[in-house]
Amino acid sequence: MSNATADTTTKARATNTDAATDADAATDAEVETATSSSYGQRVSTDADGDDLVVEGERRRTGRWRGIVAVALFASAVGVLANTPFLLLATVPVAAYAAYPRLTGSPSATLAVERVIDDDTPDRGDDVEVTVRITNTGRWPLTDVRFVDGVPPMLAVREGSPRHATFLWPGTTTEFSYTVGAEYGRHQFDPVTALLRDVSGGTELEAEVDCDPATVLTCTDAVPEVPLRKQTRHSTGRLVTDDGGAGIEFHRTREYQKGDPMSRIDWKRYAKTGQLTTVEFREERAATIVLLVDARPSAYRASAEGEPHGLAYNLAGAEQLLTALGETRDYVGLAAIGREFCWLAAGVGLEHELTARELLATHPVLSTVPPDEDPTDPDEQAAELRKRLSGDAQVVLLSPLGDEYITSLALSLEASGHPVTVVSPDVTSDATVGSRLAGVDRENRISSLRQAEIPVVDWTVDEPLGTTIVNSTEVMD
Amino acid sequence: MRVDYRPRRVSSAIAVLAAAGSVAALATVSEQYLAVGISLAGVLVLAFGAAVYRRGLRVLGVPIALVGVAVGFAGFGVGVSLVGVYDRSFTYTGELIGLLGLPFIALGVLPVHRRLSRRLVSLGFAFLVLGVVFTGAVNGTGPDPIPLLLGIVAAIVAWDAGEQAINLGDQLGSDARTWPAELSHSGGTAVFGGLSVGTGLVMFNADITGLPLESLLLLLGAALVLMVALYK
Repeated sequence: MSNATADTTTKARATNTDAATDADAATDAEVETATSSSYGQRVSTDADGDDLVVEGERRRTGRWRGIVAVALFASAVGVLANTPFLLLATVPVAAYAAYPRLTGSPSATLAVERVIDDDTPDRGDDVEVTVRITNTGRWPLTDVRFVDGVPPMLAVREGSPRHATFLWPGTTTEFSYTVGAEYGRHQFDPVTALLRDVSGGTELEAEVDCDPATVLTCTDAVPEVPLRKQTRHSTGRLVTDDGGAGIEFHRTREYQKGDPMSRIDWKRYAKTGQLTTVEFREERAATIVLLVDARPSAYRASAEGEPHGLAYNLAGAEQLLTALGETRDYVGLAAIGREFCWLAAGVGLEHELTARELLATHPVLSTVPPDEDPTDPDEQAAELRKRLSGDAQVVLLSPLGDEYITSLALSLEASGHPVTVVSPDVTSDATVGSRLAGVDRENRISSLRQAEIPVVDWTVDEPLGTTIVNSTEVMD
Repeated sequence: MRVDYRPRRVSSAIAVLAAAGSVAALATVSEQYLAVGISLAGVLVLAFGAAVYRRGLRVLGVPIALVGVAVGFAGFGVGVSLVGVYDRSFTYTGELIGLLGLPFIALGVLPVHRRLSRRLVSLGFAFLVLGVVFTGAVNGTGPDPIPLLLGIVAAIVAWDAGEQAINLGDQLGSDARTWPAELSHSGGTAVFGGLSVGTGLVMFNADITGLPLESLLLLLGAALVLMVALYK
C-alpha cells in the first residue's frame, strides 16, 4: 500500500497512469507530453495504447444456436415429404448455423478522447461531455457499443452516455451528453466498449481509458468538520478545556516558576501583591482519519440509477478533505472493503493531493461493486486499530447498511478513538423491504447516538455542508 | 433520468418488414399480397398506438394498439377467406401461415412485455419458418426454388433484426444513437444470406437433387454431425 501511495505522489500530474506499472524515464516523459497538450487531447501510438485498453471477457453470445433446430426441422420435413426444394432451402439455414464461426472475433483497437466544456463548474450547472472514439486498428468494427464511465454522483440530464456504431479503420465517432454538476471532485471512469462481430456471435468487453483522465471539480461547501474533543499537542483550531496559550480566557492560577512574564496578571499584582498567571484555552490540532466504508453493503442505492452509498461516501470524504485541508489538522485516510486501504495522517498540500488521488483511483474505492465476497472485515478492522495513532479520531463515512459497521464504530470508540459518523441516507420508501432497511438504519443511528457517538444523518438531496451545520447545532 | 430499455426502432422496423417480405416472397396470387398489406397496416397502427401511449395518453393509446393487433392478426383471416375461391386454396392458405408470425414479432419488439420480448420474436419466427416449410413440403415440386430460399432467408433476417433490437435496447437503452450498428448488423446478415442462397443455387444446378433418398439421408446425417461439432 505504501508503495502505491509513493507512486501516486511522484506522478501527481499524470493522473491516470497505472500505479502498478514500472514506468521508466521514457514513459514518464511521454506521459508528460501527453499531459501538457490541451485538455483531454491524446495522441495514440501503438506503444502507449496498450495500457489504456483493457480487454476483458470474450464470450460467445450463442444467439445463433436455435438456428440448428430450424435447419434440422426443415431438412427432416424435406426428407419425409421427399421435396428437394425444401432440402435446398435448408442450405442457407445451415450456413447461418456456421455464420458466427466464420466472422472472426473483433479486437478492441480503440482510442478515446473526452472533452468537457467546463471542468470547474458551479453546482447544478449543465456540463457538456463530448466523447470521441477512433478505430485505430486495420479492420472495421461492425457493431461496437459504448457506455461512458459517468461518475456515479453526476446525473445525466440530456442526451445519452451510450452509443452504438459501425467504425471503419481510422474513422472517429462522436457523441455528447450533458451532466449536472454536483459538489466534489469527479473522475470519469473508462469507457466500457462491447464489440460484437458482424454475426453477433462473439462479444468482447473492453475498457478504454483516456489519458489524462477527465476530472470534473465542483468546489464544495463544507464549512467545518464536526470534530470530537480529542487532540494532539500542536496548535490548531480545536478549543480545548486545557489551559495554556490561546485567545479565550480560561482561568487564573498561582504563579509557578518559569511562567512567561507576559502571562502574569500585573493588575492583580499591583492590587494585592500576589503573583498570578492567566491561562487561556489552548487551541490544538486534531488527528483525523477519514474511514470510508466500501464493503458490499455500502453499494446499496435508493433506486436503480441513483448513486449508491459508496458514491456519497466518496463525495463526502472529498468535501471533508477539502475542509480539513484549510486547517492545520492532521488528516489520514482509510477504507475497508475488498482490502484494507490506508494513508497515514499528514498535513500540507501534497498530502492532500495524495489523499485525493487515493480517493479517485484506489481499487477498494472503485464505484463498481465487488463481484465476490470480500475478505474478512475483522482482519481489516484489526489492521486499522493497529495503525491508528493513540490520539487519532475517526470520521466514519458509511450508509450504515449493516450491523458490522455499527459494532466497528462502537469498538473504535471504546478503544479510545472518538468516532463521528457521517451517514448518507440511501434508503427509500419504495418497497416494504427498503422501508425495513430504513428502519434498521434509524435503529443503528440511535444505538450509535446512545453510545454518544455523534451521527451526521445526511439526507442526500441536501449538500453535506448544510447537514453538518444543522446537526452540529443540534449537538451543541 | 430513467433509462428506457425497450428494443431499438430501426432494427424493429427491419424485423417487421423482413417478416412481411418472407411471407410476400412465398405469395403467388394478389389476394395474398393484400393480406400481407393488411397485416403490415395493422402493425403500423399498433406502433402508432404505442407511440400515443408513451406520450402519456394511455386511455387513447391502448385501444388504438388493440385495434392494431386485431388488424394485424385479421390479415391472415382475410387472406384465407379471399384465397378460398381458388382450387389450390389449401396451398395458398399454407403460404400465409407466416402472417401469423408478423404481429407476434411486432409485439415482441414493441415490447408488450420486456421479459417476453425474445420469446414473442421467436414465436413469430417459428410461424414464418412453418410457412416456408409448409410451402416447401406441399408445393415443393414447383418449378422455381428461389421464393423458398428468399422466404427462409428473410425469416432469418427478421428474427436476427428482432433479436438485435432487443439486445441493443437491453444494453444501451432507447436514448442512445444506435442505427449504424443496427444497419451494419442486419446488412451483414442479409448479405450472408444472399451468398448462401447463391451457393445453394449453384449446388441445385449441379443437379444433386437427382440423388436417391438414401444419399440425401446420408447428407443429412453428415450435416447433423457438422452442426453438433460446431456447437460442441
